[in-house]
Amino acid sequence: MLSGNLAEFPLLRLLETLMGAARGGVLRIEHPSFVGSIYLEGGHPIHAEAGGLRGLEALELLAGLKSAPFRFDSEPNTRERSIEPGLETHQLIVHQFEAWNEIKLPDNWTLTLQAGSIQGPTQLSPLEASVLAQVQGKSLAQALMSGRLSPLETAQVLSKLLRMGLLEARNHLTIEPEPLVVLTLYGGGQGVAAIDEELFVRWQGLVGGGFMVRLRTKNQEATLRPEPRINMQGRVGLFERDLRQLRLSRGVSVKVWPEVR
Amino acid sequence: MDILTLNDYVNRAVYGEWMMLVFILVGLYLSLRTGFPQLSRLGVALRETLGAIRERFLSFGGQITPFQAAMVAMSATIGTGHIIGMVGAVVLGGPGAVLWMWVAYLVGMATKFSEAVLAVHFRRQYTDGSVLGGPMVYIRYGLGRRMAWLAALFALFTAIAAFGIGNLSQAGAVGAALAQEFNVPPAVTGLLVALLVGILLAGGIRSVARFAQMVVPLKLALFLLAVLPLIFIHLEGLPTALALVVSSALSFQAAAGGAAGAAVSLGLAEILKAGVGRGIFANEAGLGSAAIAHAQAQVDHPVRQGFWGLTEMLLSLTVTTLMALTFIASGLWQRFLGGDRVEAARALFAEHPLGVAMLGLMLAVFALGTMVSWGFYGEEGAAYLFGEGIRWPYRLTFVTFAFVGPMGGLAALTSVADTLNGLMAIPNLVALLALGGLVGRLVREFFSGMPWQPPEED
Repeated sequence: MLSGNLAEFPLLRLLETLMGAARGGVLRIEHPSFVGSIYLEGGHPIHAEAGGLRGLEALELLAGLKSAPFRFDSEPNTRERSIEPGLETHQLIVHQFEAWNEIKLPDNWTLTLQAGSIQGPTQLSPLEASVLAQVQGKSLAQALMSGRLSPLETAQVLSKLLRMGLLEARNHLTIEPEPLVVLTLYGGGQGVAAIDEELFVRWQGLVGGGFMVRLRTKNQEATLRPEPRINMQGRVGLFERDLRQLRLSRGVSVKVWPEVR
Repeated sequence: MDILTLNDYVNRAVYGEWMMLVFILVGLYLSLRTGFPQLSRLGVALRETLGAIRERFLSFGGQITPFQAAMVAMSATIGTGHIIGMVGAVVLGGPGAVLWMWVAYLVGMATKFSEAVLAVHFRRQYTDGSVLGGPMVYIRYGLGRRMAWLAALFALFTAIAAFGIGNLSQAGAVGAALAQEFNVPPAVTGLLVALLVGILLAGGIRSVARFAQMVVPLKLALFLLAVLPLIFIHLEGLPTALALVVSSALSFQAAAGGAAGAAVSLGLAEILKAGVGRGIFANEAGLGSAAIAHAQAQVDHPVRQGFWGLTEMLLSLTVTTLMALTFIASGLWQRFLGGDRVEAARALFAEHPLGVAMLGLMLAVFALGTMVSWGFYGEEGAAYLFGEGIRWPYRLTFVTFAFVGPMGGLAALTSVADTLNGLMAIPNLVALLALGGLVGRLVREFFSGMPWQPPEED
């Protein structure tokens, strides 16, 4: 039995090693969002599954994984054949890996996709607009598996939408947003949310390290750098410039929660 | 020299011209060190206080809100001196005294702002959430261990003065007003006042603050109810009154008139003393008393509480100015020039649709509010000196005096307490002078968005 993590042993190298040794068996990849399996015969993939995907589409999705634990068992236990073994398939797999390398997506596919802070008119193709409408609230893994497009095509569109700021990939935490009352901070600062030091420590503990704070007003959201301050219970201090940009004023109640940096 | 002669001598000194000059100079110094916040930061101050009035019940955690702390201070400040005292200033110094009162208020704003800032900066917070603060604390921790005696002196003056200005004088005013206008026997008034003050002080700062946030708006509403009909009656006289305030600021002469019915001539010194005296002592800026209340506020930065000090002064100025202009516009000031201020005030309110009873009711509520806040100030002074164990004995003594107050007597004690009230200013002004630079630094830090760093405990 062979096991490890794709972060240390990339999938393409792993497949080539197994192919070189003409091994038969099943390679199981356990991602937090789904389980993937690649069945091999004489070193060649003959069937693949990942989430609800099968065949080359499943292989295409698994090719994009940068990190996940894997295990190879020598006992093949399927009669299904969804991939035609051969040189052509091998070239296709290599091409898939190359295509993934050109796409800039977060490595963490458990992040949740949400509308970005950029609002207003933007030029989008109907396909991009449809992906934008469909993926909000889903994890990256879910979005890659559930589209009308192949995982690679979906990844290309998502990468563009993320780059444009129309989408944001955020850590999905089950931390209840805190209702805080806005307090004015004076001076030339910007992009800072001053919160009570006790709340800061609590959120730091929940998130497990550095974090940003997400602030939701009636009409929009913003991500700000948290700054712990004393005697700020129930308040969030914002600089005048941010108040103007967010169309907020002192005394207004907003929802604030932490998100991983 | 017996003790009462000595008391008279010291009393004249602490309320005299030289002391007034010191108040003004300290106020000017603090204005310079803080960049004249009463002018340059007035907009911010109003936005931070009256503009944020909808947040009055929102706490930053801790004992009381910044609004409540300001109300405790205002409950003490806006007292009978704003009515009878203001009429008295015009009776003594003529209409021109009002202009000098404005000047004193303007300078005093920086003083009260600085007091509130220092009170929050140096306050001691205990594990149960309670707070001890005020001039005695900023003298002790701001000036260091070697000046602990000065801090103790301030605390001692406050603890004793509270029995005079904050108790016997006020209880006497309530008793006199209710007896004169509503025929309430002084013993009954004493019993009711003692009961109310006792219950409120027993509840600690939270109870005092809850009372203050109710009584200050009531005071202001009563004041408007009392003054607006009079302003309406004398509306035509208002422009003349304003003109007189300016034209008679340097000197004043009347061929015949005044209380004595003879020619009256007022020099600059008399006008200045009457006006500046009112502008200093009506609002307690420099005495340090209000700082004891401001120290209790839970704020993220001392300067934010300082703005409440500025606004407190503005409201006090509005009340005294409206009172003075109404009195001048009525023309009664000419008849009472150099005469009795209480009689002058009664003559003015005799024109009110509700009669002099309105004045009586207003004075009673004003005095009651002042008593409760001063009871708290005195208790804080005593607790600083003798520890937490003194609180109940102090409260019981305070309540006993509140019962006795409406029945009169104890004039000697009231006079000594009045002197000690004036003496409170000396340790406080020394500390303000020494710590003016620190206040300036805190202001600069606040306006550059820096967080507040409380001083290290020693």
